[in-house]
Amino acid sequence: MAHLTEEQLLSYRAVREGELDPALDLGAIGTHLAACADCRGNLATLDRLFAALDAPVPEPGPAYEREVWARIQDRLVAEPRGAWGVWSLGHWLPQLGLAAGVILLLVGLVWSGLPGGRTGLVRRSAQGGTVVPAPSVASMGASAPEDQAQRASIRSRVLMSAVGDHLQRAELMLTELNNTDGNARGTIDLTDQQAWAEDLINENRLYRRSAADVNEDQIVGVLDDLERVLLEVAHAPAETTPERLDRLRMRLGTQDVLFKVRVAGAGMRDRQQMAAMVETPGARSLSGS
Amino acid sequence: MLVESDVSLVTRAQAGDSDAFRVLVERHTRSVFRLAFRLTGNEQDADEVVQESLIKAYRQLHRFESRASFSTWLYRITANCAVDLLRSRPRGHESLDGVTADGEPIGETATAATPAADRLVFSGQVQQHMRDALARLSDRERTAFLLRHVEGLSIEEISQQLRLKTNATKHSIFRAVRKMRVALEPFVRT
Repeated sequence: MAHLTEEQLLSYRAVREGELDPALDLGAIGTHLAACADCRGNLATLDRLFAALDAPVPEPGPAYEREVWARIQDRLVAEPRGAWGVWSLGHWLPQLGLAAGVILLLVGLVWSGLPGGRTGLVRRSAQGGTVVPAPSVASMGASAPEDQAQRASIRSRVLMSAVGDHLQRAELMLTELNNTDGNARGTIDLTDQQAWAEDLINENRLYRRSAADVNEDQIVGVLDDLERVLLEVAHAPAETTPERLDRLRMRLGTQDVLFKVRVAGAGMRDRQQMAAMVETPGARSLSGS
Repeated sequence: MLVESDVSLVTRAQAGDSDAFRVLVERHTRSVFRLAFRLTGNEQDADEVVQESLIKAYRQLHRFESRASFSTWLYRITANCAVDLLRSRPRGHESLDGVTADGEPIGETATAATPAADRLVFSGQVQQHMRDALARLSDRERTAFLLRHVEGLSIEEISQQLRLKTNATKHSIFRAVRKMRVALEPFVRT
């Protein structure tokens, strides 16, 4: 008979420890062990391995559970996440961010169409892709070229502000994803990054649509790239290895997307500053207009 | 008095009932501590792991699926927290590669210092290397191995809790045993 396999030895131990395994031919294994010093040595090695696992564990005091609860209770309130963060600010922050963005966009769009008492949403012409006022607004005689320009400016500023904030949050998430330790042994827990990505996906879609509506093609491109990364991260396994995470980052080009997000975010901030300067009286005088 | 099940408590906790989570903490803290102690080797670290594990469980509670066992889920989180703690600690003069800083095999040094093998097995040094070996296992291997050989669950119970087929559970445990035996061979070989 060949030497016993580790599986046979483990099964033998299980039987010896009182857990029956009817499929095991104990007689043959016992006979072999009696005759084979190598296999007896292997069995003894396993016995010692498991003996090491059985080292005594100190028993905590009778009030240990209550003490632990008292110690973590404050941190649960301070670091709300997941289920009962439902009554906490932490749970609602992403939703509030999205809601604020939606409200900001709607207010901006409605405001830009106030003269006609309608939303004044712009439409893209089928021919040139230029922005034209909605007929309902034009028909009421309230869409002088200056009004149109003003509305477009307001729309653009609202969008810039909301998308700029969104890109800043995405930048933080991507930075954390890129900086997650790829050298550590074993597994990496992506749970936090995934929750973050999930929070950003809905915002991202909203802003992408809004940006497309006003022909902000460059922003649309960046948000498209970002959405691809967010979706992949959100749906990746929560636990991964450094190697798999590296491959994911390479495949998604997260460094490139991070760079694009940074550049686009900086562009948003520059445009906001420029717009603010142009529209404030002081700025006008400085620019000589 | 009827004892409320873990599943029911988790459902209430997921709906925002902090009392339900407190009951879960009180119910499982002691076993979490035992596992944490086995993995970290001292009470202070074990206590830290207990707290981190419970907080992490709380933060991820919305991801828990009731088809799984709460205790196994928590067990898994605890094992990962302990591994993270061990990895974050600067190592002593011994490396994970089985040699001392002086380039000597760990087993040779230890054997020379203490010839009594039985005492050696239980020495802190062996415990430390056992923890290192556990930390090197994959998440599934470590959980299956600990559930089998520390908690004493049957293969069928582990398969059910980890939602694996019986053969996959067996393979995970055997792979874990093999890796641990290789890593600890210098200490436990007769």
